[in-house]
Amino acid sequence: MKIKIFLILLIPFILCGCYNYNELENLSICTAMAFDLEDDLYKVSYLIANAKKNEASSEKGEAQSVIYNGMGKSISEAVDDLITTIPHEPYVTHLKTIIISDELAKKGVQNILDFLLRYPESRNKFALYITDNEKAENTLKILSPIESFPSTSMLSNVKTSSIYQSKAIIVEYNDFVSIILEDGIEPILSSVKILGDIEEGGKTESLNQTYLAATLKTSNIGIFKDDKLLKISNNEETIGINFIKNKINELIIPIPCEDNYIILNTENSETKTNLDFKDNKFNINLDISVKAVINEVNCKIDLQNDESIKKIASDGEKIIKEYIEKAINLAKENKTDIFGFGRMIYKNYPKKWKDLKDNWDNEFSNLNIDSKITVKIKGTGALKQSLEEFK
Amino acid sequence: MKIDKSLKYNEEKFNEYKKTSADLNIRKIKIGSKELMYIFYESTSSDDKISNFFMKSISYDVKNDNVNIFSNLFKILKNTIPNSSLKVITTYKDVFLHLSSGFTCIFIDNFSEVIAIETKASLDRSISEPTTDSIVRGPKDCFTENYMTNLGLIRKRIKDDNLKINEVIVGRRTNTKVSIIYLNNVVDLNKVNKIQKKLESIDIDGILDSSYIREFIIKKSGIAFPRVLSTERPDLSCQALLNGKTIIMVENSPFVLIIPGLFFDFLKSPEDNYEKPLNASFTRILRILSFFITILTPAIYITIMTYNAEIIPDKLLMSLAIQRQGVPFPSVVSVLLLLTTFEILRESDIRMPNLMGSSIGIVGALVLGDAAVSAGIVSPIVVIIIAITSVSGLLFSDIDFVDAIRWWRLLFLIGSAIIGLIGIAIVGIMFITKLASIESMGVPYLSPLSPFSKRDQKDNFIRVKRDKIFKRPSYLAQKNQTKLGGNNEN
Repeated sequence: MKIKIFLILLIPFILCGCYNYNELENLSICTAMAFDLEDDLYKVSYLIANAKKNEASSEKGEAQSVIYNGMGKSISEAVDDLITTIPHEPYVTHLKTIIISDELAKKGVQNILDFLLRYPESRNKFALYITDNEKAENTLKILSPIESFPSTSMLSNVKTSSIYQSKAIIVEYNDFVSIILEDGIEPILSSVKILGDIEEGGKTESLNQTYLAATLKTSNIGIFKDDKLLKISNNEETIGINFIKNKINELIIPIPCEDNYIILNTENSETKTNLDFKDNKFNINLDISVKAVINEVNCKIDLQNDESIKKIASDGEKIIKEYIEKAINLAKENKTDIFGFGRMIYKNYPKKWKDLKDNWDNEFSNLNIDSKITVKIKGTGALKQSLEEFK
Repeated sequence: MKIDKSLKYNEEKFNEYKKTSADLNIRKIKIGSKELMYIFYESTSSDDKISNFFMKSISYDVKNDNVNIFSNLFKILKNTIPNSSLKVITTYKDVFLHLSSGFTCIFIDNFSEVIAIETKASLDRSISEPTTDSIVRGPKDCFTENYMTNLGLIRKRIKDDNLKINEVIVGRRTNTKVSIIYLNNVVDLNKVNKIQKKLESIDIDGILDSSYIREFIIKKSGIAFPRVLSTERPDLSCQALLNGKTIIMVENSPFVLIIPGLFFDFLKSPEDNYEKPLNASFTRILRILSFFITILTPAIYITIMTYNAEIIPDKLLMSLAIQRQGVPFPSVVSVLLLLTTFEILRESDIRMPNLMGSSIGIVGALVLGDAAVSAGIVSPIVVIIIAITSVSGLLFSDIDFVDAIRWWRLLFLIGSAIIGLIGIAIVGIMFITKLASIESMGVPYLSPLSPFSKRDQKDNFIRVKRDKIFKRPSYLAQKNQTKLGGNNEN
């Protein structure tokens, strides 16, 4: 009896042994992908980590990266064209970032999504970005001197800026797709921009200088409708969108005073969205409470005085209200509900949503959105009084 | 064959025998009008004992000179020789048996019975520190090759009249004494009888060591884990006795067998009982961890390098891929090569005598590995993997256990080299099935984990304070389970 069990357990060894045997050095490890539109053809670029041992340095070596690209009428044909140029089999399981150029995004990203979803080896946990008036392939050319895994630099760039600046957001692929498929909410994506000279920045010699020829910069949020990119917002609209979506971490709010600025740094911000139905109309009430710290004081003001602190706070509230108004106007003009209010209506008043569903883009413009903002200043940093007061 | 009465016949017989036995000594004495002959092997008897016990009493009687009849002489000798161990034997076979054991045999003219007195020389080393199972704190004596000394080391620790020692003689030519030691009112007597029957049924030429007995008691061996624990330490043996196990002690062997030997006994060390409970628990958990490390690590390395590279974190992936550059062999071959090398080095470390060269061991192994990396035969991480594996395997003291680990490590490696993670899973199923299905003398091998007994967990993975352990293990002792305190007579 035991022998029979052992023989049954041995069946996988005989039937499918060595089915997928691949030594690590025989794989082209693809770390980032870029999609472009060139002469009406799709252009797909892979950033492949070239793991070559550098005899001069220690045994660890440095991973150089190489870009390969391919063109075709559809994504799969482009990838096919690309594979003919790669030395080994492509290995996309460790993919971290996908960059789509804004030209292609304006045309619609549905083809890309379909290809990536169907691809059996992909992990579906990569982050998506669009470019801000750049070619996607050029963003792959910017090499980073700090990280050893090439596309981690971009990811950490965005992560840092999402924490410290509250401008960029990280959108994972799965979330993006599920938002597209859902009624009542439209997707958004962060964008990246290149500063400097792209030709110089792509060379490895530039890594050895202290002054980098080109760097990647996270830029503003792009708003979508269905799967097409409409436009990329400006700074203030981006901040407003993040406020409404409750994704603010640390943010610098400059408050003008005389001809200089007082800078507030938010520490905590919480946005509560309330929906109610009055007079046959839906109303959204945003309740934003911000706790801030004074970062920089450049004009003459007495920080020990309660009144002046209150004035700073109310000025901050006005500025945040401006941001939010701009963001709402952006969404209403372009008729996309990027905040997800439609989804909220669906969740709370499903029967009424049925009537509104088909015409939501227009109905959205008639939605009444109110906001109430409270800024509470927690402290003034390590100095208790402004420098001007000491003079 | 019964002993002949005539002394002359015996004298001729043994003189003939002496031509091919260089160490046989024969001496004839006359007492009054009677003649005596005594023989002994000079190699196993000690001369001063003979002179102390025998010659002095003989000279006393000679002086007395009231010996007239033969039987009188016999009775007087029997009653006056001041040696505590005196036997009367009647066949030649017994004469030779006792001669080889160091007795002196006294033949009396016209008498068909022979007196044998014990005059054994001490041919053993003294009690020293154990070589295989050393601990930091605790008693440091170990068993020697002297049978009575070993029994004494146990008797002086358990001073209970319930400590029983049953003796069986095994081996046609060697006539080795094998004894079964147990606590009468604790152990399951059926098991003891079973063991005794098995021992009595052994029909073999000679028993040289306790491992011969082990092969008779446990029939199916091979790739399985050992089911009998063999140890050199009397304190470990006495602890096993108090828990309800039986001990087999073989003459001329410093290793005793403890039956039943279960899986978790091999993961424990006697030092756990002498340390503080918290520290002992930590060490035990460390040992379990190193058991898994030593069996699974090469297999996991192979599977993440060749089949399942998705598991590796990103930065490690680049580093591993770079390290693999320029290595001509596939990963499996590198791992097998280094494993074999480490095994050869370990074996040579045991065999090499101290004079010829000292530090080939682990240091040499690492240097060898480093040289292999520089030559480009293996990648650096393989050296680390194999070093961790080998060092974790050195934590266990029983050599059979370590050998069994070696086999299973190889099987896991083969499994992962063929299908990757699924292969490890399949070999893991085989492993657990095998472990859970064998038993050692009727006790399931994975007790107290497999037939789970909550009360025995107090001394299994962790060790609880001694005054919280109230009962003996439930799978060993059926009667008299209370260990600690209270109203317990017999």
